[in-house]
Order: sequence, then C-alpha cells, then structure tokens
Amino acid sequence: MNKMLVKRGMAFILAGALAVGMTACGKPAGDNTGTATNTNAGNTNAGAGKQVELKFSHIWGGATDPFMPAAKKVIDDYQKANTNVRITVDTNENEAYKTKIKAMAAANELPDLFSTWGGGFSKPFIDSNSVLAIDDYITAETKGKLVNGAFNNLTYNDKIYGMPFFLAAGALFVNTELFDKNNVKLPATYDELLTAIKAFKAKGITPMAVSGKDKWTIAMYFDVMALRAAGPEKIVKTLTKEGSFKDPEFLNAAKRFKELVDAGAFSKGAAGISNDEAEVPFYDGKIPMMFKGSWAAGKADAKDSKVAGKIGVISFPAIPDGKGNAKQFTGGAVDAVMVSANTKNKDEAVKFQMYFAENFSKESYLAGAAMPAWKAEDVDKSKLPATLVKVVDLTKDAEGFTIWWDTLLAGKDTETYLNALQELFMGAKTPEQFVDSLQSIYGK
Amino acid sequence: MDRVLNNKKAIVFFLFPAMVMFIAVIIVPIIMSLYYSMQDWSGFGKGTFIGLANYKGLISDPIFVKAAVNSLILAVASVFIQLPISLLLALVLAKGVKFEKSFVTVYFVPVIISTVVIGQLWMKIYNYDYGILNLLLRSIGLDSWAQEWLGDTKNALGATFIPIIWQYIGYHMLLMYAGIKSISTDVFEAAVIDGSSWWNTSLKITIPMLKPVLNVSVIFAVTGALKVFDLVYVLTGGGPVHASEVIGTYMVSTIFKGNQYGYGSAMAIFVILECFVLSILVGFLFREREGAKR
Amino acid sequence: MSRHTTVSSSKRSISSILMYAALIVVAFIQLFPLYWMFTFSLKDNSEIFGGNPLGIPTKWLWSNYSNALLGGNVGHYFINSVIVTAATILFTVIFSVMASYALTRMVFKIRKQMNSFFILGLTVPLHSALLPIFVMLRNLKMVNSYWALIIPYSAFAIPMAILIFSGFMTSLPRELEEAACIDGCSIYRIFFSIIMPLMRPAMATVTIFTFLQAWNELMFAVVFISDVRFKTLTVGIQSLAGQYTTDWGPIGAGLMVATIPTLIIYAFMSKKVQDSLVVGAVKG
Repeated sequence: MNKMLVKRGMAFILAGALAVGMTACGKPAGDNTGTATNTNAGNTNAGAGKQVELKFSHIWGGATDPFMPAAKKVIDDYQKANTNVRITVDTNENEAYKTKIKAMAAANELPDLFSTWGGGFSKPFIDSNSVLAIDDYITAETKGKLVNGAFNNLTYNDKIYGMPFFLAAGALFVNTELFDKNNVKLPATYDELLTAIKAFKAKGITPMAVSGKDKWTIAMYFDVMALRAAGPEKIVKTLTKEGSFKDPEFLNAAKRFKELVDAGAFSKGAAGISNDEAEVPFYDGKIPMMFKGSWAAGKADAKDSKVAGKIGVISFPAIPDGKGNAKQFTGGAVDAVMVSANTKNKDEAVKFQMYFAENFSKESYLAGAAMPAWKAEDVDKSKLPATLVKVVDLTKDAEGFTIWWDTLLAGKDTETYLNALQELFMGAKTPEQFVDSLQSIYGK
Repeated sequence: MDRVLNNKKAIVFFLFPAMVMFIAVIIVPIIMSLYYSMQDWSGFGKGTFIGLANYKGLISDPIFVKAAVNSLILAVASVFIQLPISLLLALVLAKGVKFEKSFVTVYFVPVIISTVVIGQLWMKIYNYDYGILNLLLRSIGLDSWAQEWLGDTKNALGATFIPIIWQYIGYHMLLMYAGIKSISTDVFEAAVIDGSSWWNTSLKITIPMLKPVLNVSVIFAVTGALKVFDLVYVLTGGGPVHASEVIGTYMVSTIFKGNQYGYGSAMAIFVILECFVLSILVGFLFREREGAKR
Repeated sequence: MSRHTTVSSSKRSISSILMYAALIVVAFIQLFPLYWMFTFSLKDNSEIFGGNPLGIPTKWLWSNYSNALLGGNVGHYFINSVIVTAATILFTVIFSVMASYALTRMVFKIRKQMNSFFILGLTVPLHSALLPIFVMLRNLKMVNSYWALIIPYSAFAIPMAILIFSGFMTSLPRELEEAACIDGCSIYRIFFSIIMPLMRPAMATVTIFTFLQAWNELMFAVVFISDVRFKTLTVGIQSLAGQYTTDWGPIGAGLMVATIPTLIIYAFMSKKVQDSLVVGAVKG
C-alpha cells in the first residue's frame, strides 16, 4: 500500500517536472507577429510618459575594455533624454555571451535588444523568427548616414534585421621602427613581403604574429589572401554555395599561404598559444607585422603602449595571378544590435536601437576604439589616436569590404573551414587537401 | 529493529527532498536530451525527427571516435595513475606525520585554484620559447627534446592530460584521508600490538576497510574523466587538429558553435550511458571483491 | 643486539628524512599555483606572456586589484556568491544525508536500484543539461533569481554527496542503531541524534566539494542570470575580459579575491575532517 503510494508519488513528480520542462520546446521561438500590431497601436503615444523597461544584453562591460565607457555613455544619455524609458543592461563576456544568447533564443527568453554579429552567427536567429525585421523603421535619411554596404551582413531574405555600428577592416599592421632598424623595406608587393619575411627570419625575428590555437587569427591572413587571389564577387559567391572551392583561385591562395608558412612567417610555437599571448610580442615591439582587424589600432594607441607612434598600417599586397587588388579589404560592418521579435515595446525598442547604433558608432570612434559604420566626416581627426586614423585613411577609397569567412559561414561550416585552415597552417594538410575539405561544405 | 527500518513513511520522508530536485534537474534533462538526440535540430525553432540517424552518425564520425577514445584514455590514466598517488599521500599523511594538518591543507590547494589559472600556468610551463619545461631540457643539454608541447599533434594529448590528473590528486587524497580517519583507531592499535609494519597494516587493514571510499573515488575519477571539459578547453580547445579532443569539447563545439543541437545531444546520451554503465561496473567489481574475501 | 637496533633506527631515520623531503617537495609543487596566481595578479599582459611569466612582477600593479574590484562590481557579486553557495551547501548536505540514510540502512524493495539511479546524476554533462534546465526554470518563472542557481547546483551536488555519505555510512557499525532500538528510539531520533553527529567528517568533506562546485560554477551562472542583482562573482570576473583583447592582470586579481574565501573555508573544514579522529575514538 505504502509502496504504491511512493511509486505513484514518484511518477507524479516525474510527469509534472517533464511537463514543465517540455512545454516551451514545441513552441517556435517567434510566433508573435500576430500580436505585434496590437502592441504597435497601444504604443503610438509612447513618448507621452508611459513607463517602459527595455532589457538589453551586450558584451561591452569589461572594466578595461575601450568600448565599455562608450556603451555606458550612450545608454545613460538616452535614458536622460527619454525619462519614460528604463534600460536594464546585462553585460557579458564575449565567448560566454555567444552560448548565452543562443540558449536564450532557444528558450524563447531573448531580451528586448541584444548585441550580435551579422552573417552566419545571426542566421539561425532570423530563420527561427526570433528577430524583428526593421525595414519599415529605416528611413532614407538613416540609410544616408551609414557607409555604403553597412547592411550587407545584416540583410537576410531581402529584409534588414539589425543596426550596425562598427566598420572593421583587415589591415597589415607594421612596426616601422623594426623595419627601419633592420633595413627592411615596407612591402608593397607580394615578393617584397616574402623578402621582408625572410630578412626578419634571418635576423632571428619572428616576422608575423598569429595564434594557431585561436583559429580565427589564422583566418585573418588567409581570408585576405583568398580575396587577393579570387576577388570579392567570387569569394561571396563561393561562400554562399554558388560556386566551387575547386576553382584554381582558391588553390592559388592556399599555396601562397603555405608559402608564407614555409618561409617562416610565423613563430614555431604559434600553434600552442592563444591570441592574447600571440599579440603581446607585437605590442611589445618584438614582432614587426600582424594582420588584424582595425580594432588592433586601439591597443597600439593605448596610453601604456610600447609601440605608440611606431605602427604603420598598410594593405596586404596583391598576390601573383590574383584576380583581386590591394584596394579591396576584408571586413565590413558585422557587429550589430537586434530587437527580439517578442518584445512588448516594439517602437520603443527600435527607437533605442537606432539611437544606440548611431551614437555608439560615434562614441567608439571618438574613443579611438573602432572605425564607425556611420559616416563621421565632422569628427575632428586630429584628436583621434594616430593608428586608427591611419586605418581610416587607408580604407578611405576602398573598393569594398568582403566579410570574413568565419563570419559569413554559419555553424558547422565555420568549424569545417577553421579546422581545415588550422591543418593547412600546421602542415597536416596540403593546399590540395585543404581545398578538398573546403569543398565538403557543399555536401557530397 | 527491522520494523523501524521498514518504516515506509520514514523512507519517503528521507528520500523525498533529494528525489524531487534530482528528478527535476537531472532526470528531466536526460529525457529531453534523449528527445533532442533523435532530431535534426539546430537549437533554434523546430527540429525534424530523424530517429537514430544521429547515433549512426556518431559511429562513422572519426573525430567523435577519436574524442571518445581520448576520454577513455583519461579515465584509465585517472584510475591507474592519479588515484594510486592520492592513496599513497593519504596513507602517509594519515599515519601521523609531523605537520600533518598543514600537509593536508597544502596538498589540496591546486583543487581550489580556478581552472583558468591552472590552465594559464601550464601554458607557461609548456610554452615553446620561454616555458620552463623546454628551458629545463635545454639547460641539461637535451636541446633536441625541447619541443612544441600543446601545439604539436603528437604531444598535445599527453600534455593536456598531465595537468588534469595532477590538479585533482588532492581531491581524491582528501576523500581517502577522511575515510582513513573515520576508521576506528582501535583497529590500528590492535595491528600495532601485533607488530605489523605500516606497509602491512596499510595493505591488509586500511585499504580493505577503505573500500567504500575507494569505490566512490574510482566512480568520481571515471565519470569526471569522461565528462572533462574545462581544462582541455583552456589549454588546447581540443586541438591542434583534434589531437586533444575529448567528448566534452567536441560536444560543446558541436552544440554551441556548430549549431547541431540534436547531434550534440546524441553525444550527451552516449556519455551518460558510458558513465552509468562504467559506474555500475565499478560498484559491482568492488562488491564482488569484497564478497570473495569473506 | 645493540648494533642491530642502531642500524635499524638509523635506517628508519634515513627513510623518514627521505619521506619528509618528498612530502616537502610535493608541498612546494602544490603551493606553486597559489604563488603564481598572486604574482600573475600584479602583472600586465606583457609580463604574463613571455616577458616574465613565472617570476616576481617587475612592477607591482596593484591597480589590477582596483580595476577588478571596481569594474567587476566585486563586492556585490561576492555577496551573491556567498548566498548561493551557502544555500546550496545547506540543501545538499541535509537532503543527501537523509537520502543516504534511507539508501544504506533502511529496508525497502527497490533500494539497490535507487542507489544506481542516483549515480545517473554523475553522468550528465553540464553543457547538455544547460538548455533543458533553462527552459524549465523559465517555465517556473525562476530565471533571474537565486533559486535559478541554488536548485541546479544542489541537484548536481546531491548524487556526489549521496555517494560520499553512503560510503561513510556503510562503515558505521550497525550495533549503534540496534542499541538505540532496544531503548525504544524512533527512526527519526536514531537519525538525528546518532547518525547525523557521526557524519560530521563526511559532512565536512561534502561541504568542501559542494563549495568548490557552487563557488566556481560559471556556465549556468552566465546563462540563467541576466539581472545584475543576482550575478555571481565568477561571472563578474569573467566579464572583465574585453571583446577583442583581454587584460589578464585584473582577471588574476579578481580570481585571487575569489580564491581567498575558498582557502579559508577549506582550512576550516579540513580541520573538521581531522577532528573525526576524536569521533572515531569515541565510536569504538
């Protein structure tokens, strides 16, 4: 009798717990489009003092992160100007945040606004209807304020889903002092680059900084070489599965990349160290070259920088038999803020989204932390950190920006690419085997 | 006596709170993982039911097989390298050395230190250019032995496992030490009167009496090894080229980077089954041995 | 005869010298991470990565501590960690001792199966449980509360604790309960006044292990808590990392601050473990 009770009790608990666990799963994340109109109507006079709370999760909370004060200022300013809006901020560490925001989307628990990345990272969010399309809110005036192609990586199925703020561009950062001291010429051509690498190598100086462990830093180099080899159209086409990695351009890029590796461009220990560690010798003035995104400028200009005033910024040279040229850059506007499709305060959220993107762009630029995706001709450049200005000048007459591969590709494909590249880097794969691996992204 | 211990109300009273939490937080996720594992699901929106296809995929996935083998190697190494060291330390300390308390405290320190710090420290030890391991090898003239440790596919697995095994020696030591301490001192006194040496006492009396605790240690070591993630993630991320991949790292990159929630859940179910079967087996072996002795 | 004893005693003293030497060497190895974390917390990236990875800092950057303490909102997060960890330990210890008693001593049909059942708790990889638990917490409206951490932490600690308690309980002589039984003691009296006190060394061990788990846990804490009011210390320290570059010094400082209570708890609890010597003597 009692035993039955125990058993039944357990069964009951199990069933109850299961029910609680399961219910949310079947429900697609963003089926609120129907209710949206209601919210809209109720909100038309939102400015008239209706108290609104907006939850905003982002990644700029690090105490020494140059973006932190900029983000904080923009949010504070907005709340001061819009007293009816309270913004509840949740800041997270970059890598942990990627897990968190995915779990939040899966559990239907996204905050009203969240920072994210364009291209492949946000694609599943859009595919599962978790994100609000904002075409209706973007005026021609807004578009005019943004640099060309700012929405490229935030447009899915011809609709715009996010607001960008940074413009990132890959560039070759060079320590001019080291070049001068060792009588090496700044490379303007691929041959000069090889010569420079060999010259530094011969003097016992590691020529280029990279982390073999943080695979994206290898991709910084390879992406630009592939761009030089194949040109922007072909890259995008091939990555979006409308071409073939078996085309000779990709093999050319892989072979050239291997040529750099074999010439001793990277340190022997690079495979085992993280990016934070790999960058240190560059910022200590011990390694002459590093190909990185424009954010690297911020650190070169930091107040305790040991390389202040010594860093030059050049474009990666064109490579032999390449279809691209040195005026094409890797990068683009990737970082973005999106609004959850489930937000209860659509208009208020989008209003803040626009404000945040524009002003965060400007503040980060003023802080010397990033290039702006919003036009900022009126900013007095003389007050900006020198290295960042060099990046801005370099990319001024860019023909265009081609997004990083690991950003454009999604999920599993990104992993396939980065793993194959690491193998190429370590000599575990030949250039031929490398392009074969890339082609596997297309399926069989 | 039996009537008292048969008291069903009391049994329910004792078990109920632990049971509720356990079912809600452990059993339900297991069932949900089982459900996800039979779907092609990215973690977003709706998945499609694909039966056992994910499990078939696991068997033919060379990276998964490698990760599973690596995890098993760690489990074996933990049981046969880590635990004997822990046991030796526990026995020596428990027999009453000077500064016993201080030693027990000090030996546990690595367990307390954050994985991030332990990881960073070992990266300094292994670093190709300035790591103490290579400096040491070079200083004793073994220049050719100085090499890339975490960054080389040949060495990465061993180099990753050593810190993992080392860090938790103190953990098991404490468990065993507490176990020895709770054995009645009379037993030892009797043995000493019999003129039994410390070694003999340890082998013939302490270790057999410690069996329940050893059983627990072995289960913790095995399940811990099969689920290991943190330190591998910090040290190598499973690389280079999957050389130090374990199920934990592969599962996490599959789920959260590869957006293959269904496939990753199949790995989770595999780990759960593997751990469960091995734990039961360990428990069985310990009981079997005990039975044979009597 | 006399020669014999001197040989064996000098042999003994040599072997004991060797043993102490070995113990001390091991002690140095085990203490090294603590020393290293301390120096690490006072350096900048340039020293940590290559310039001076293992030595004393050339310039003692106490500013790392102010950066960590101010930027990491450490004071507030610290209290949250204390609340969450204390509650977790309390639930884990009480519920697990209770369950262990039923599972090792009491008589019912599915006891063995129940024992195995709890082992399942050791088998679940945290990462795969993340989403199911999150969904459940959300449905129970418990996301962004202390409970969102206390409940999962306790549940994951309970199987471990049950295993440890059971291990210790099986070595308790049954005569204790039988004697009490003859005196007409109720099962609850037996449990609370006889078994519980004897479990103190095991409780100390479980407390230490549960403390470590709850205090250092990161992933659940990141995902389940978005409200600043409930964030825990490890999350605060982690968020010191920047988007593109990370200053490791302040992180080291934060970790140092987070480790000190662990050391104190551990030193305190391991004393309890040692005190079991006394308990053992009384018991026999």
